[in-house]
Amino acid sequence: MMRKLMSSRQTSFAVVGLAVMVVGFPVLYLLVEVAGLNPSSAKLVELGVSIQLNYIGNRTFTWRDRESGSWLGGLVRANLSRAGSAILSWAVFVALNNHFGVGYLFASAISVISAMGINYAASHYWVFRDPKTARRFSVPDLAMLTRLARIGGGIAATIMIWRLLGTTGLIYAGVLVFVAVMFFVAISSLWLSLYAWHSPEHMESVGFDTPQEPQNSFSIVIPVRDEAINVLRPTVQALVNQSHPDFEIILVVSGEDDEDTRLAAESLRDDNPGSIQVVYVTGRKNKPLALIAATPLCTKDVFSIFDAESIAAPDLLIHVDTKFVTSGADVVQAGVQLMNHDDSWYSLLNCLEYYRWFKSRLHWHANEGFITLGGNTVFIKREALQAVGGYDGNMLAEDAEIGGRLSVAGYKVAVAYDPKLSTREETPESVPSLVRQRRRWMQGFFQAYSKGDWRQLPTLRQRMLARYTLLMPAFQAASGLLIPVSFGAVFLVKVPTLLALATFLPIIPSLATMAADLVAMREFGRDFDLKITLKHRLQLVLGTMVYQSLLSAAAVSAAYRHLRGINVWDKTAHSGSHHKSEDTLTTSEESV
Amino acid sequence: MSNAKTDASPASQPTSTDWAGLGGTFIRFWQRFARRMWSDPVIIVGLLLVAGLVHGLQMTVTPSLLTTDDEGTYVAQAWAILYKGALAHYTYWMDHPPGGWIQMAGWAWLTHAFDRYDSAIAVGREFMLVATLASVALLYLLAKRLGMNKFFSIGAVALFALSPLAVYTHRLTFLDNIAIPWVLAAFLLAASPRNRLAAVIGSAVCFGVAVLTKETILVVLPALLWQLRQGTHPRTRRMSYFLWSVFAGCVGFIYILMAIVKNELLPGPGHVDLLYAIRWQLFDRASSGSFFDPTSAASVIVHSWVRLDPWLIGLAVALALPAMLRRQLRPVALAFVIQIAVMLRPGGYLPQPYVIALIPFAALIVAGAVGALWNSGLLNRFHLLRNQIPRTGFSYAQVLVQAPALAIVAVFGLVIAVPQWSPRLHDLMTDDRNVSVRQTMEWVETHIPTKKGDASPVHILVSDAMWVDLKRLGYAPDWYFKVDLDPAVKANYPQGWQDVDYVIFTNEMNEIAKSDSKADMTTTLASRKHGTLVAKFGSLSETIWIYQVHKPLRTSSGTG
Repeated sequence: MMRKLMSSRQTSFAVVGLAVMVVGFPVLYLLVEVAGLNPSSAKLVELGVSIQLNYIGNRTFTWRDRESGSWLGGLVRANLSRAGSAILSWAVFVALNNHFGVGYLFASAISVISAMGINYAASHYWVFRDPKTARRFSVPDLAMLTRLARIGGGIAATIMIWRLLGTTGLIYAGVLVFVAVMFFVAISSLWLSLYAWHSPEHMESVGFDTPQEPQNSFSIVIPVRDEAINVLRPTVQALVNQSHPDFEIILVVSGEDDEDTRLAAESLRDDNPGSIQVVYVTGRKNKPLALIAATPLCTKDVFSIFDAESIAAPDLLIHVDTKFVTSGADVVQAGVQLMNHDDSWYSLLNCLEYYRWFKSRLHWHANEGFITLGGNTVFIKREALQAVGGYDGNMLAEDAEIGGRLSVAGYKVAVAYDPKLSTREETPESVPSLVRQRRRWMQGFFQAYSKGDWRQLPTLRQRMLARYTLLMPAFQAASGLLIPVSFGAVFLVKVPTLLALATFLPIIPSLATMAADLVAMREFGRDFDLKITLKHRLQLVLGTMVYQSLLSAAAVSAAYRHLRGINVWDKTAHSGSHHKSEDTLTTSEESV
Repeated sequence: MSNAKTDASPASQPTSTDWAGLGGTFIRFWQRFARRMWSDPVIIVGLLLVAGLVHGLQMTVTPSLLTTDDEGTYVAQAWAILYKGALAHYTYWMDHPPGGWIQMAGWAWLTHAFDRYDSAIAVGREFMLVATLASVALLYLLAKRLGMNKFFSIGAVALFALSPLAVYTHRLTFLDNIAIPWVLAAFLLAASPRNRLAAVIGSAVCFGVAVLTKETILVVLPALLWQLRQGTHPRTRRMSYFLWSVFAGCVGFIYILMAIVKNELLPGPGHVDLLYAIRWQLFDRASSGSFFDPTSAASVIVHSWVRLDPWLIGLAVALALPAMLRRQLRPVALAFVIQIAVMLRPGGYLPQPYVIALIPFAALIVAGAVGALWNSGLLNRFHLLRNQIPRTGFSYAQVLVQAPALAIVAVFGLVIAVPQWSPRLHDLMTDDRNVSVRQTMEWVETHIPTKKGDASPVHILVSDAMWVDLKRLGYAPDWYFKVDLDPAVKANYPQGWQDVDYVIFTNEMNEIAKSDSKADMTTTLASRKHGTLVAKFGSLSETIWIYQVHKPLRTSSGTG
């Protein structure tokens, strides 16, 4: 049945194309003979007309079974895709004919056939995509094809540009491509982080629903290491006091040599008889190993993680329970918020980063089917966790990595954010520890990228998204290099005006991000009843560049360490616990 | 498709089941067909056809190419981008941002336009057709978003595309015409019915491009910001405004960045600078006088508009304030009012193409105000009037409101539009006002060699209207202004008028020479004084005089 539909669709596509071609001849004839246009511009007009006719025909007949969204939107997509395929088929022709010596008629035949294929694929997957079912279409072979096409196209384009522009031109073109990629990455990541502000509907959708009758039970795992009792007690107390009726708490203490932490955990257990278990991890110490150790002890429906120094809201569990029910999800990520925005210049920017991430960007990831989970206030159905094989003890960003595997296995992730229900945390205590924390996360992203589970994601779109997300630190590293290059290009080297202008392009997203942060900061203050003053605004405007440079530096360092195979967990595990602000404090660092 | 269903005319519905047989089949077919035809895409195609025809017929020869030097200048600048790799045919001194003629050059490059016409200005005229068609489609969509139904949206476009004033000015190669579609797109996106942030950013980029195309469009900014307020939700409004500002600002800033990169922002020796250009545009340009002084330049320009069509702008002036009673029309009405206020300010410079940015807003105001009256539930609060008139489908309230609206439209259509507009449109669509220019070019080609005896180029002083054409024929033309103004050009004429071979004088040059304008025409006038009239074509404003300059004997100034 499916097979027959497909073949009739292709027939219909061909018939429409043929009919439009037949109509095109008299149009071309009239334009040249009657209107007096020269043939090449008449052909251009005819091409334009036939694109529209093809669209109308294919919308009316070939893809009439699809709800292809708005008429105008489809028209725009049709024009874009046809323009793209025209350029491609021209490039194929030129490459075959000029550079590989294929006869022009044969080259033309190949270019026409490839254009037809591209047009059909573009129409099927993009122009007439059905917004509701679009995700179901995936072509495993497409990855292979695109890789081949990319390599071939890249070589052909490079040769053509080199032939056309010479060596200097090739370098300029390279710079332009680099700038364009940086611009795309910066502007798209800004756009994603603004998910909640895209429309009033999105703003509505990021919150929790009104809680209903509890239906799930929770195992709460708290990895503990080098924690003083006065830090740990409020964390545990906030969880013990949850309004939800059915949950257990498991404290995982890493390190047999850590007597103080062990005593603190045991005293908390004795203060709350029956609701807290304590388990010890020996040998290698890191957060994923602690989580792995706790997993077999969990008896409830949902496995959840809280950091040792974070304060949960009393009604959090009951809301998360409802979120599981209403969304039908297997994983719920609830909000985490850094609260000490007044402590230092960077803590303000750090707070805003969390605000945008949990309130906005993660929701987009959840909707698109590839998400890097956080390491705190995350809730995973126990059977889902077991089905994907639990945490990976070798990962630097175990939370991001398991998020990817859950996406691959097709588990649904829901994100919910409400300022009143977000878990409160504090920023790293110094700039070096912030940079180290970021370096670890970024290296963890590279590690998850290399591990490659994401390659099994069902759709091309998801795989592209995974690539984009996990490689983001690499772009960040590159963007750190771009700013000095662009200033150098303008003021030191004499380059063409257009090129100099282009190198400034990526500054637009930077400014836009700053503007968006100013607005987000105001809403952050309103959400958490914090006073936002002129001082904060100045801090934001002046600090953003420095903060971004810190992140870029962390990214460069992370890339270096990843390529050299330096693994932070192991290294710091052996270095002992004599300097507290080092990476040894792994359990107290929150991973996004 | 979904639109077609909801817009089905209720009056024709019941009959579909009453009829059987062939007649019924036909009627059902007709109803389905009519419903399809009444959908937005079909309406837009229809509007494009009509507007394209009215704008397009004879557009390259009427109005006269001698109407204004600006046309030739912008086309020459677009030509310079393609064939000289520079932003202008002379030193670009940032009198206007280059967005407009960059777009024009893009069109010419894509379509080989300069190869298709003998007269370069025709390229510009053709691009104006493209811009107008884009405006037509956008204006229709904008009218609908501002709450007008299909009839009144079509009405707005009809005013925009059929007023003789509009057709006349839309045809002229002015930057304003290129900016209008961008402005309309900015308003259209700002009026996003679903309050989308993406639309807000699109609006910002479009407005930025509009300003890069013609900087004066900046005056509608407050109106656009108001429109943005209507198109955003309180929960996301602040974010929308901030991002709008950043994106519009960044696109606009490209112009200033360009000046910085070329080291032409601040004054300095040996180069032009943006600050001077801005100062000149804002303060140093000769005032056009007060609109209320009948002898002033401003008044002359306004009267030239009124001669073409007093009704569109006149009605809009009358209806602008009433239109503001309707919430959705307030921003566009404000855009119109601001421009009228700027126009009436004393002592400023009123350029000829100023009216272009008034026209789309005027069309929206007139169609919108009448439409609002037509659809208003103005009298519905009176119970008695809500009753149906027996045996008709209408209520008293409807008739009391809709009858006057219908009367206004009917009077406008029958008494004004048809008798006044049709002869003018007929002239615009059939006249050929380009005879004298064509004759001049033919005469020059047959009577003047491109090189002198010693193979040196033939220098011709000319208005920009013919500059590119002469250049392409192989002569060495120079825009007469530049000979005295631009040091780089002056260097080619070390002996002033004695280095000039021919002067082609147009009526506009005559007027400028006679007027007390600040323009320096020393060399041009001296060349004429020492020349003899060798040919003359056309009459009145289209007159062209060709003078051959006689050189004095070289011995008198030689070293002997």
